Amino acid sequence: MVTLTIDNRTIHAEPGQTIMEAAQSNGIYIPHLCHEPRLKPAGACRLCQVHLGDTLRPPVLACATPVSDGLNVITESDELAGRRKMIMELLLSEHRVACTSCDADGDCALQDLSYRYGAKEWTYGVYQHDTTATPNYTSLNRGIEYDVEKCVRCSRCVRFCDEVQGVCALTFDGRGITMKINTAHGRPLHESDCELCGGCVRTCPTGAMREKGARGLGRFKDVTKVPTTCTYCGVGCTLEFNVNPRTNRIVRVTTQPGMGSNDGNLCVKGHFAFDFVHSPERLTKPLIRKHGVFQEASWQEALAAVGRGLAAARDQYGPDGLAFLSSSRCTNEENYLMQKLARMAGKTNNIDQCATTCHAPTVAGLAMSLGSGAMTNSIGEIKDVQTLFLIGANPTEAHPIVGLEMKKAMRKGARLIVCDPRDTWMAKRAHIHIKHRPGTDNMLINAMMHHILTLGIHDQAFVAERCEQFEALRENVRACSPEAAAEVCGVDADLIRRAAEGYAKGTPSAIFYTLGITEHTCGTENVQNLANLAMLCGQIGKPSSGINPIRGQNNVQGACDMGAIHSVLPGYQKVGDEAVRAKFAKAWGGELPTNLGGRVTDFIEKAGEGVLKAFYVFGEDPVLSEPNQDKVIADLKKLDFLVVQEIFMTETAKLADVVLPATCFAEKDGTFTNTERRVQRVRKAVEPPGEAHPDWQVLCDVSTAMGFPMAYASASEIFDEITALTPSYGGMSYERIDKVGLQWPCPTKDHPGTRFLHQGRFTRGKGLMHAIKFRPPAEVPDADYPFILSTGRTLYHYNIGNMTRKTEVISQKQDENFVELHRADAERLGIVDGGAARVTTRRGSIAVRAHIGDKVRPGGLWMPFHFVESPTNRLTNDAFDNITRTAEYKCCAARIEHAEMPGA
Amino acid sequence: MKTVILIDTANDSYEAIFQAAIAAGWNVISKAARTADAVVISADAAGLQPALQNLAAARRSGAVAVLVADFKHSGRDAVFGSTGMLEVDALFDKPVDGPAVMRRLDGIMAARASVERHEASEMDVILARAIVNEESSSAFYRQAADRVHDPVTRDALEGLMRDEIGHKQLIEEFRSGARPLPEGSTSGGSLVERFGSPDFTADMSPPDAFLLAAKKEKLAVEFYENWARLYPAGPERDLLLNLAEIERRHKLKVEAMFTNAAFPEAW
Repeated sequence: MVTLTIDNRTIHAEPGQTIMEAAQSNGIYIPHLCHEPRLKPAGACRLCQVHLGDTLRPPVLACATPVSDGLNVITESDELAGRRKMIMELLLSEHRVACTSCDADGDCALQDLSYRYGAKEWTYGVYQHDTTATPNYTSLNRGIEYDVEKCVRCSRCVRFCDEVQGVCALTFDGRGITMKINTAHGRPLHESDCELCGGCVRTCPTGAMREKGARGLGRFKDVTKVPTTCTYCGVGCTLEFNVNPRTNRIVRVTTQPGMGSNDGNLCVKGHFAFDFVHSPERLTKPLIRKHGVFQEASWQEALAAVGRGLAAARDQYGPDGLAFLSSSRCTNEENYLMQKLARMAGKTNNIDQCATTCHAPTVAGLAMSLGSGAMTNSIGEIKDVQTLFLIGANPTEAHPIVGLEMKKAMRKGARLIVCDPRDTWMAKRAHIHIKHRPGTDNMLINAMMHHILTLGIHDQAFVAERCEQFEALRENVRACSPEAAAEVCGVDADLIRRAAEGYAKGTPSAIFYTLGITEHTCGTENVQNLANLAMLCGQIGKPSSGINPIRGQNNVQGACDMGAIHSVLPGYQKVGDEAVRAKFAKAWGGELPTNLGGRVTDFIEKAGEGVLKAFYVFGEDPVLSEPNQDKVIADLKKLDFLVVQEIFMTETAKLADVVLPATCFAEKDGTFTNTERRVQRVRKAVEPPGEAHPDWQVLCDVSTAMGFPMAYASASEIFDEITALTPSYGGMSYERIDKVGLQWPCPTKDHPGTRFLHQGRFTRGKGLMHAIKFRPPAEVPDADYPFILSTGRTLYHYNIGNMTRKTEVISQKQDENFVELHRADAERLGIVDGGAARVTTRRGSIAVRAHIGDKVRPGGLWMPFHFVESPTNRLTNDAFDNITRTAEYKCCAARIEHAEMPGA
Repeated sequence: MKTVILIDTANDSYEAIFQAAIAAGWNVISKAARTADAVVISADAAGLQPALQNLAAARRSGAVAVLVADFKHSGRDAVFGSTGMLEVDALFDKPVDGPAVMRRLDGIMAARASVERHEASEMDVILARAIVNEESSSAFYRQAADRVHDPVTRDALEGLMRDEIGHKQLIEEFRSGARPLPEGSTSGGSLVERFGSPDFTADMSPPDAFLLAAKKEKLAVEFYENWARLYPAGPERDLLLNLAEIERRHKLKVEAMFTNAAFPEAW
């Protein structure tokens, strides 16, 4: 540690810190405009000048001067005040002082420092003030607005775009007084490389960069900041809703450096995609289908209808006659109540949520291999990984903030190995990119292990001490040479060798994967094989080294934790364990069901078979999210009773008998659990629309209507019940998780939470290696359907799109479905870039825009699934993983042909 | 001459131990005696709990404490389910191998004698006792591992045994000047206080084994801390506090292993 004095206060600093960093970490303010803790020092604004030793010496820049022992720093003096005043007056001479109409009024460092140092606007004359604002790169953009006359050229936006986001969409254009921010070639922002993360807006110290949509809706002094957790993806970014209480409206979203796992960063969805909250399309009243059409109803009437419909199925058909689909979009408290409702009022274990659709193979696979299915490291550890091994993951689009952490690691020199059939952002920048055929992951992993064993570079001590069934693994991969895999996977054998060596030797190495691994008929086996690879190389159970499934939906981890799964109660306590059932029966006041229960894919099939009679869908839209859409619709139509609790009239809601208006996350209190097992607060920011009730109240009311009364005073009271019954959450309370959350397991009130798993020992004792054989996908290309179609997410939209597509700035960037295909295939089939193409599988056909290039392999197709008018899941295959019943979204046989125009 | 008190509540082992004691040169004295170098109790199921209490008291008075019981049958759970078990120096199954009991007693006595021979240095006394304690702990985990059915629990207990061997090596290396002991006073860790120490059973789960170990480590921390209070500030006290720190860190480690093992995400 270094000891120094700032303004007569002795402080300690880390060696290598600058004076500015040392001051800030000790709560001492030094005036600045260009400094930002996430950015390299720029020394551009000169405001952070300080004296060293005494005031007679020439000042130095605090942001660019390192600390040293015994340093005496003076941050304020007459001379410094004079210098700062002069700088401010020079800036003001180029600045249109329009504080009265500026959205940044009250939240502007230029305004604050001008006032502090008594700077005058006219001292050095006036430049630019009298010119009419000329169009710039943001003029046509619907999200971000740049006002050059409020810009102080601090370069924070340009540096943020480069150093943090790694996109380099912004640059300085011109010299001297005409210098301004621009995109390359002055392209409109939404047509540039900009990802619309909003980082430039958040880092701007003045009103130069602002959200267009927030113009005039509320200044700093008009808004209340409500900290909460983002509702998109499993990263769980901390953000602040800036709410104007007068209008009950979210004006803008902010966040701060150092705040949450996201460290003040957000993606386009986290910054912009909240227009849906105030959408006029929100459901505001209960609806009951009468004579085939929906009619508005009172809550009393609707709840009575729901209670009757569900209770009738329960009483007449027993536990297999009804099912409950909970929501990974919703809070832990609501998921807890939903499974309690299913079990106690519905008397069934037919309870599920979207984990079956996405990461169930993770839980099953890792639990069998290691004993526990959760991500083994934390987001904060990613930046210290030496070798990033990504397979079936596209973090810069699906989990952008995790992507930023990976970029940090890369800037620190990490090696990047990507196995992906597409040229993702990460793949294009990887040291090694294995662009293998979809569905051949196990062959690839086996070949990597074959090569590692051939070279003897596996961690023999780790394997001997902590693993079992090594010999079976060795025998299994003996025939899987890189050459053999090269043929199956369609890649160069040498690439496989290099990847294997890089992963094995690159300590600490960490595996990151998502649905490219799990959404296969062999999804669980894929996960087990990745666990094999990690164990073989001893790359697990250490800081920055492990196997990390990055969860998809914001609270899919929490929904699983809360027991919204047929086989487990909250905290993964087994339904089949009599003692566990007795514990919950005592707490809940009634016997628990013992039927096996099923998963969402079972529910739909059973509905089609006429076995399932009533279905309660909460915050999910299986018509759009499940595979083989036509069959899903046909099956759901056979139900006697379907109730949907939703914020919008979804495709599933359109089939319902009763639709209950739900509240979105901005309208409720509760908690989400993110991908690193961190339980975080969600806070109510605005009132719900119309007659929408808090979801936890609705669930209680439905339960009561079914004959099992449930009542709570608040979400906090529900959380207290959760912690009392869920040992892994036992040490948590709203008070303890208020600021940064806690990672489970956190079993006692003084437990700090658990950062990474499997240190020293796997949950199951020794790690179990599995001999995994390569199995091809359920459908492979043939003469009729010669392509392999994969599906996935884009950066700009989220799952079925019913939230992100309500946001104007996003719609401008991406508002229609598309298919990616290789240029060689396109040329052969006469399909042109931007033209229409029809994609057909054995289940259906849709026409979409063609995106032609080298992003996918020849013979490969890729489509997102965000667009209701062009539902990609009409095409996907309802073939399932043997263990978890997760569908094979990543591989099905398809054909593509020229079409006249897009349209479903 | 070394003295030993023999108590046999089951009347099935006294003779074997007595003969072995005499053969090994021990003086078998009346159980009415107030002190002895060692106490060996052979107990039946009914006498196990009083025996454990007596042995704990004997050990605290300085005697080596040995329990002979029918571990293969009903005695196992009752013995290992008691906190008093943690204060027994050695455990033996029935039918008793008298010479083995006496060899173990001799071993422990020799270790203690070694401590006494070096009593010119308080530091040596402390270190020698610490090494004996680590040996005793590793023997305990070995014996516990031999008695559980679940291979994963056995593996966990064997891991703890290896930890204790590692601690012994660490202390020996410190004594030879090869490396320092850890310093500081690690904070945190209250799982055993919150969840309590479970009963030992042959069917115990890995998490329970870790909680049992945490309890044992907690006792070890308290042992060194109490001893340290007898010294004024100085090297002896520092040494004892460092030894307490080793045990405290081990307690934290086994509590972390408990946390990792007890709350899996399972399908």
